Amino acid sequence: MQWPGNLVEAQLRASPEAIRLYAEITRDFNPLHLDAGFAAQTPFGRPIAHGTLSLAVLWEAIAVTFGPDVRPAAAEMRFLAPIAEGALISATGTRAGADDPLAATMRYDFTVSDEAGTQALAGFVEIAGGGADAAS
Amino acid sequence: MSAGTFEGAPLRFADFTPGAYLGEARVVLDRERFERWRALFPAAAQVEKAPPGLLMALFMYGFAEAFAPHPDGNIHAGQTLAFTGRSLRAGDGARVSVTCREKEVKRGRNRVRFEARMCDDAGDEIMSGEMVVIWAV
Repeated sequence: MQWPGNLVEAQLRASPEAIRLYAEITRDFNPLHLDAGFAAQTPFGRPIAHGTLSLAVLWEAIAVTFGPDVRPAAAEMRFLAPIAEGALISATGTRAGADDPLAATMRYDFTVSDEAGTQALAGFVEIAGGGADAAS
Repeated sequence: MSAGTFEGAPLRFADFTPGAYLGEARVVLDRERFERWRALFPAAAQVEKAPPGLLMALFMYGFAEAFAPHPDGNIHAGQTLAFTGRSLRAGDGARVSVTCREKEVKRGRNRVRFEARMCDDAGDEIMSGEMVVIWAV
């Protein structure tokens, strides 16, 4: 398997509708994400996207780069800053080592940012080559 | 702290004991969830098995349900994940179990590290991970 130098960038607008959909999927109705009045009383000042909604954009970048059958094997990350409601979430990644077509997994360092360049999420993901879904 | 779903006042930082098992929740990847996921990420329209992001969403739901109620204002600060390659189809169920691994006050914030594991109904692991949460109360 060829391991490209960079992940294809994926994007998602953190619209109120997108945040609401994600809240319904996770049943996480924390008012920090959904209630402008509540969020205004917090240090964030306005609703913010769920951290794992931002992370979902990274999984999309992986799927766009490698196809739906290639899966993450492991990941580690820190949530550095919130993504404000309405922001454009972008996920990118760079291969951490030399390309090795025989490698079963490959590490990519990634960031998830808004359009102002503020990093919301950073870490690494190890991607398993084709066949990682065979167990299911 | 006993296992299971709680009702009443939100859990507080003081309630957690490192090493304590917190509970388990059964979750189902119902079709409505899958359709909402496809509304968010249309590229998933042709996918029969839950993609990693949807597994993660289900994992977070199970985490929240395993030892509810959580207070408003918690912040997800860090995460490790390990995927086995197993997935779920619409209609499949899974169980998410949660253990408290560590808690500390750091720079005036209450940080709790949890370990969670999601297994399918046959008991085979789908994914696991540790998450650091800034606990609000």
